[in-house]
Amino acid sequence: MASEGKRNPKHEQLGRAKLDPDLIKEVEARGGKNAQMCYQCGTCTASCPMGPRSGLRVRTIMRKANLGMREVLDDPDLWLCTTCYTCSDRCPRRIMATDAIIALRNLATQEHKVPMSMIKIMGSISKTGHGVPNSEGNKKKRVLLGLPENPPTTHSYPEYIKDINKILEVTGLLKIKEEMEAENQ
Amino acid sequence: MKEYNFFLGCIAPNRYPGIEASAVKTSRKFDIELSDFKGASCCPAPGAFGSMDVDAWLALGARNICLSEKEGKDIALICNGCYKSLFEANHRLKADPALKEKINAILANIDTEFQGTIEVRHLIDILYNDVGTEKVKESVEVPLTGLNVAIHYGCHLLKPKFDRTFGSSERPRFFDELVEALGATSVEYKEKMMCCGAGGGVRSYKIDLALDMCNEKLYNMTQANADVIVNVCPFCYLQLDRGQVEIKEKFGDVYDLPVLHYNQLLGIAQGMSPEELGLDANEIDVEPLLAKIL
Repeated sequence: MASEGKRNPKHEQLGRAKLDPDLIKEVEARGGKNAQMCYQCGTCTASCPMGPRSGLRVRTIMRKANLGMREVLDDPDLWLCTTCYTCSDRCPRRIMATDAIIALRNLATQEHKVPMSMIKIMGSISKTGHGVPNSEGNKKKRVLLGLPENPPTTHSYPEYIKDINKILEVTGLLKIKEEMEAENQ
Repeated sequence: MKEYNFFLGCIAPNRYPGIEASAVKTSRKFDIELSDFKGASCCPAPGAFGSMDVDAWLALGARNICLSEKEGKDIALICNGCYKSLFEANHRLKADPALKEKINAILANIDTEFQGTIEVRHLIDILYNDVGTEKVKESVEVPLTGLNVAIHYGCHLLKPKFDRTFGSSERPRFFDELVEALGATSVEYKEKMMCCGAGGGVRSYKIDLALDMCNEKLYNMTQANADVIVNVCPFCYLQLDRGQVEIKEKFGDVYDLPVLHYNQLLGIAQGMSPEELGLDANEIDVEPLLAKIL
């Protein structure tokens, strides 16, 4: 082709050298099915209940992911999606934009860019089996209702917690938690 | 009698135990037994946990399902977040052999294998599709005539629609029909299908934005003269109930709109006392609501 070998100065301005064509493939592999099909109509951003009150722009995130702009993983607004799936249900391309955002969050987690609030929830599950564990005040309420102080979950059978931690260990999450706790001390 | 393993999740048993108690008591009226599900854990929280690692989320969800597979019992649950985790894990692993193999490789570390032999049901699905609105209506002893209910379906019950069995996520009707079967009126309000704002880890990450969304929802409900919010998700429940206290503190807006799980509203209609339904665990006083119907 005639243009081969020539570099488009516009692409240079965009920092094309830094673009990662594999990013969108990683997003799709982690559950963001058909993310490459996005034609930027903006139905997602228009449907997003978080958009009008924050910087979250789903269409922009989809564009950056498709362009291979890995800096999208540093965007704090990536964590403002409530995963309501309205954008996904309305997408004319049947793209699960919510799942694409979740996939990007997974990639950000691998780079230790996950908010500590999430790591805390993992810590609670690792310790008790529950993201929201029982409390002393709640135990009294349970007894008044004729329920046992603790539900018949890992709270009553803590011997099951070791299996949970094994899953956290083999998926690498326990290591990320420990490293991030050390980094944030 | 149909028996289910009753998957409790976290917020119902550990913050609003009345949701748990009312589910067990009201289901018995329909010959449904919700049994102790030993060793179950957090589903785990889809927004927070799925956001860190989807495979770990699926594997932890599958661990819960496998416990019930060993007992040969279907799972019933009362939380939309738990529904997302367990319903999706169950049907995705059943439908996708490659995914099942991948997750089973993780589960092999705890000597567990997902088989795909049971169903995961939300109790509202069981009430509507198995029990039916007619039988629900027959169980009513105290008709809730004149009560204006703002229904909050919650997102993960219905969406993503391609991963659910309820059809339209824009204008669903089944929950409205179940509320109307009790004699109450389901009021239409602006942006009825909007999210409560709590999910995706946002409530723990940026609570002001989570509450701003909730505030809009509460305003729209009060504009429609709602007496009570009824939902089927303990996390939405917490956001809508405790959120009102936080919204008052942070933004100065006051609604005093009581919040109930559908099972609690059903319990009232079936003649149960507010005490045995655990309504005193709520932040927002339910007395004005009770005064209107009892």
